[in-house]
Amino acid sequence: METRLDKTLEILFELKVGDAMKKDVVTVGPDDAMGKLNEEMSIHRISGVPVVEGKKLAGIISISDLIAWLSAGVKDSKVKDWMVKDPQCLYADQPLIHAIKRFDQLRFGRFPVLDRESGELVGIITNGDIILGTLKKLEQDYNEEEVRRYRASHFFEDINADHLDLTLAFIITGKDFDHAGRASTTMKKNLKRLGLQPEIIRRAAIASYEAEMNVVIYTDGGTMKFTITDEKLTIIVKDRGPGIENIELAMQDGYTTAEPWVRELGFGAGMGLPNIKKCSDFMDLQSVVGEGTTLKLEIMIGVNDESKRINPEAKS
Amino acid sequence: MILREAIELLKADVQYNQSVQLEAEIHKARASDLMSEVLADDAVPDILLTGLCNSHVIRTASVFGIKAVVFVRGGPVDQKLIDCALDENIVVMTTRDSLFTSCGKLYAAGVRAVTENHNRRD
Repeated sequence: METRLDKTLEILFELKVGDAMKKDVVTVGPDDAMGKLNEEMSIHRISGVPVVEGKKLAGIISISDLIAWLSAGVKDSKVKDWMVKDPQCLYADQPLIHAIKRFDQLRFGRFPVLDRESGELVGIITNGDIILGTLKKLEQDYNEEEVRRYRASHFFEDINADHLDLTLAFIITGKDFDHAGRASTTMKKNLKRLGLQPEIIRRAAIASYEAEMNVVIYTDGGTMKFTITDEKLTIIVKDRGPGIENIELAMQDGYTTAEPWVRELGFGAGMGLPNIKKCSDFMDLQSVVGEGTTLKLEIMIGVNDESKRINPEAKS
Repeated sequence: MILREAIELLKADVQYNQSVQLEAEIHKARASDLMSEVLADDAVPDILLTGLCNSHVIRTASVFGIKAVVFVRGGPVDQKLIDCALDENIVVMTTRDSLFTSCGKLYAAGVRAVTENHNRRD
């Protein structure tokens, strides 16, 4: 229990007023009629409104000021006659813990929030906003922790060998649209667990997905094999035919032999192979008509080392 | 805007795993019925709008890293598709609006095309 409270306290120091405040602030001008204030408060169901002149804060006016005006029975009054001038404010860059202390000391319902440099009004904060902001942050941290735990990024560090070579293979069934994409999406999760860089994972996922769809759409089925070393990711996709008649033509952007039903599924626009090429650092396509096609891709995973990239055009 | 606001704007029925997903910022959108075209883009949109209703839309979103998908003209979205989306942790929603109207509403609210800063077809 203690650790959780520590965590909450940590968040209250870490989060800034600007993170938890409401940014869409209903404001009134000093020369607005008190009647207008009455309307604004009931429309938006709020109990306090900052008074703004230009972008600068001129004051704050709350429901108690409104009641005072009503009971005084003065007609044609303006906001500036009833507002509290030079109100207590918070700055967006102050830690949330500071806001809590101020709420505790002054027992106000809300504080206008100013930008420290410009002095302009940027938001408003209530106790409820602080609670909501803290809970959101807790939930977010919890989710991140879950992801971290799920990830096995230490895999490569824990397994010791002079050379590491991990191969995972999938079977792709031709024309099986219900399960098409299963290998690529499963592999994407595996790569995540192995702790590869998100950009590498994305490129691998796009290339393998397009390749998998090609096997499903055009062939009788095949296999997809992913081999990971500490240097690169190799993807080999093999199918059992019918093979590609003109590889040069197939590689052209927009060239397609897809039938209408394929297009109805959102594919077959002739963009698959060019896109696969764009995502990989090396691509080799071999095909024998009547026998089958083999596609070999390589994506370098020496992540931060640009020089290892064979294809500088590869998208990031 | 955040996803929650987009959902209200499109009066959409939504399916998601965790409410925190609805707090995601939406700056860039993409509308297409051609998944290969989406995958060939250089930048990832925050949201994908499509008239195509099959699980490949979800798989495409998953592979490309798109966190939310809008199915226009009321779907139809079947349970298989929803299960697939929840499995991939992607927010899916259906709006009765057409693709044109949905895009217009989002554009008016400040969302821009993912290709806006690139020299690509839109």
